[in-house]
Amino acid sequence: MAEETEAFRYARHLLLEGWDQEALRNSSVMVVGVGALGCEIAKNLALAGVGTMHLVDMDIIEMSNLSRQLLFRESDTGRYKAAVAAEWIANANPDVEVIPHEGKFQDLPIEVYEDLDLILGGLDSFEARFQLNELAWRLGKVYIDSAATGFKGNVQVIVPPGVENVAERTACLKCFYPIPPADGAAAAACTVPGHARTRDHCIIKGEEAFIKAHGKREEYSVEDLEIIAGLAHDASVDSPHTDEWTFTAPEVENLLMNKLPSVITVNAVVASLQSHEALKVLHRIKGRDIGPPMDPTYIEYSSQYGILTPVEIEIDPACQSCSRTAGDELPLASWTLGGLLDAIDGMGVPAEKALITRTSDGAVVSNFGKGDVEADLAGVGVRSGDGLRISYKVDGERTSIEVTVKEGEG
Amino acid sequence: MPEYTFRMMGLPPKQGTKKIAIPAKATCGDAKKLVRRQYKISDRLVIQLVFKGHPIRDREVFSKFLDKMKYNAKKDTITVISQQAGGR
Repeated sequence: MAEETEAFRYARHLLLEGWDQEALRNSSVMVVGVGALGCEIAKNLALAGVGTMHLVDMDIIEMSNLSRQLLFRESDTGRYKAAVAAEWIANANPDVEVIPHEGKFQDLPIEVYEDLDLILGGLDSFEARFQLNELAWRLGKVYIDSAATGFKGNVQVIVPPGVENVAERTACLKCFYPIPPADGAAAAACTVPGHARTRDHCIIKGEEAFIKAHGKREEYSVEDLEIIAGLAHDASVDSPHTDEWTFTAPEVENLLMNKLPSVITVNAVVASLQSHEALKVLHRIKGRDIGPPMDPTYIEYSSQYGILTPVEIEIDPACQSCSRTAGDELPLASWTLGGLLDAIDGMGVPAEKALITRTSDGAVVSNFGKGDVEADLAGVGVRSGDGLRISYKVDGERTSIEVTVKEGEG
Repeated sequence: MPEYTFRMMGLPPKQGTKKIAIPAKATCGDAKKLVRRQYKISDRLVIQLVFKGHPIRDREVFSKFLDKMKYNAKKDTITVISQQAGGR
């Protein structure tokens, strides 16, 4: 009886040429980030009949999630996203074994990753996306990355070498963005000299006044945000450049907590593109075929104009994630001071705050990023295979690492 | 000052294509600032300039990289891609 129910559940899939429900039932995926993208991905793959699904998210559900994250209800606010999403999936398709992880993917034991066929990312932090990209690459797992903000989004399929039947090795996320952009609340970190001129200025002035009176906070409660909204109003009254404006707690939160603009329709399109790539890859991993992974491997969706644009991304032979050959080798794209500083930035070390010296004799190669970026490294006595020591400060503590520089291939 | 043709992804060709003058000694990082201003790209987005599939590194001298890649001013365009720069 159970088999018959299953046959009816997936009856329309059986009409698809090449589709193999058994292959999907035997597949295991991980969805990292169960937010606006992750909810859609988890829903799509669960209804399609993927057998095992790990859901990873450390966040709890907030009211502002409910406009885009269909697995959650108002009564779920305050609960972990991964747990609630797992309940939804278990109800929607009991065939799926769903395993929630209420924490960071970086903290999961490596054994959790070993049985996975692929990893899908729906993360909002660039740094976390880089880490997941590198982890998947090192483990030889296909990683499908996505991002969405405002009216646009993108998907990138990343295939490491040696994944049978899927595709040739592709560029990775870091080939595309060698240097991670700064994450975090940029607005909250700045100050506004003189009088406020814009609504954002008023909110920043409001936060400054709040910190003076109440001290700095990592997170703001609703009450804090309401106080800041009142102080932002005061800033608008005090300024000769603005009218008397009123502010709401959500507007204050959006700016100070660096919230991303987001709408369900864009998230749904991006997550659908990503989910379908996952279904194709899973079929291929199991020796079946409903189409190859998209080529080019990067696609951008713009909802304002209804445009989908594929973009060719070449493998970076000096990529710090996917082209590092061994341990501490540092391949450089160009044998110049700029090439060296780029490569060091790519390791996540701030090159402009580092002292770089030759390991053999301590000669200074770069003094806190100063110098002509076009200068040939040979001119300062650095040759392929030389060891360099990179010294820099982390949280006020000086630390150093040693690398062997190599000319990049290709 | 040499002019280059840029094409911003996600915009129709007419709005998305612009000629922008980039100083000969400007790095890609400098060029990105000029491109960001011309297209009015929000600070919430990170941008990348891609030519023939190769993202241009920030410290690369823009004109030199394009010379190396045999940029043809009459027919080639440099792709401008933007995506979320991280947030919550």
